[in-house]
Amino acid sequence: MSSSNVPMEPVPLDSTAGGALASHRPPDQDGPETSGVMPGPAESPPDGNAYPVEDERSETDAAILWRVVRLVLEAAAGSASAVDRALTRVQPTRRIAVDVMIGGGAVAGDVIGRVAGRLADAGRSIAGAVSRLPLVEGRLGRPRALSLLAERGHRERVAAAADLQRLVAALVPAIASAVLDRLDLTALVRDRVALDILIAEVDLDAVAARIDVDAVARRVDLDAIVDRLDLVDLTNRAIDGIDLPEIIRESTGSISGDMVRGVRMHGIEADQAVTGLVGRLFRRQPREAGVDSAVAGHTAAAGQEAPL
Amino acid sequence: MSAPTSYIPKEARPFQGRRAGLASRTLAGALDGLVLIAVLAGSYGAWAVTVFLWNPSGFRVPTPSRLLVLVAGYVVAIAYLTLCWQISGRTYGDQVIGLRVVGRSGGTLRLATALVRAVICVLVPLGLLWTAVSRQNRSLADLLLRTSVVYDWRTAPPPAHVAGADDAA
Repeated sequence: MSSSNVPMEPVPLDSTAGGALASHRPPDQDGPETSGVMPGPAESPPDGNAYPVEDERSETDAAILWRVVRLVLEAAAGSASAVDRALTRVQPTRRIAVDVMIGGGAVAGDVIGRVAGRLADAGRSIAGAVSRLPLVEGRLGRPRALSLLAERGHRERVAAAADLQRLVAALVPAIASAVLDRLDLTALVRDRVALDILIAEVDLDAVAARIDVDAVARRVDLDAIVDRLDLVDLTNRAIDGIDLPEIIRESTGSISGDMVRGVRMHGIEADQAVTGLVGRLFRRQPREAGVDSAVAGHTAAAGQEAPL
Repeated sequence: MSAPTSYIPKEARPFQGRRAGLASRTLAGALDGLVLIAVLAGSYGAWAVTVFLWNPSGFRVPTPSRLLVLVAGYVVAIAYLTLCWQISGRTYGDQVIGLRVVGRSGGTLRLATALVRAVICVLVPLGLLWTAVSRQNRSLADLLLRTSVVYDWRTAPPPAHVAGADDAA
């Protein structure tokens, strides 16, 4: 274009605002026509002109305007459709109406862009011709007028970006809160999240290594635990485990006691032998010794005293 | 709360409270027979000493008739068995072998039950043989009186009989 031979005043740039807006720019806006939406330092031309003022700018601004309008319309259409689906059956006429609005807006945007491009060409030609007139050249130059317009446009765009950021900052929490209120996150996580896989990826050993077991132990009320224990039961189990009665008998038992004990055990064995013999004679089913002969109150658990 | 620790030897615990068989009961009966003989002999000796002290010059060795000895033997045996079974549930032979006679509820016998059981056991000693045939190791007296003879190595007496529970069937 013709901007290379036209000196321009540097336009101060708000790189912070521009960067912020650029970060919120939707992916579909990436492309050649949107390269001038928020020019940053990297987009400055190498000749030192901070702002490229060309005839594509009109088309670009128009495209940006149309994109904003289209986004608003699409958002409205989406909201209307969602409400319709939620409350009533979808009415095709409404959807068609919204589509017609979007289509009309697209056509209008294209027309506005083309017209703006033509006007920019005409204005550039007129300005170039005027700037080349004697006595005018250097006073009312084209670069001066366009630079003022660019500066004004830049300020407006920065202000719009700031407003948009504030709007987003105010809307996002409210929208997110409203959405979360209407969602059962617990059910979503339970139905859609593979918790087993996530837990399997957790390094439990590392987690356990970070636990201060001593600190946990210091917080344990051992007295309460001891109070809940049945110490008598534990003692009885220990005595049964080491067979303390047997130890006492072996250490204090007499020869006569051992003899009597042997006689008793031999008597029991003889009883079993007789039972087995009779069982074979009568062809009875073998049974555990004394299974049917237990008498209440005389089991081993009821034994309290040593017989010998 | 678990059961208290048993002082019965481990090898005998599985049999504690189960009905004893023929061999143990026969052995206990044999020991009781020796006790009975000892009692009769002691009684005879005491009688002879008493006669000697009463009339030393005319002392002659007492020679009781067979009938008297038989009657005395039955009476002493019935009294001995009755008192032992009613008081502790075990005679001396039962004590040595580790047996105890209990009633239907596991307690000691009533006096009447013990007396009837002693009479049956003395008059029909072969009724003990039914223990080998019975699936529940019951003798003839046990079948008639609903009593049991169990392995019991404890020294503590069993709980007192329950009123009405140990009456003769």
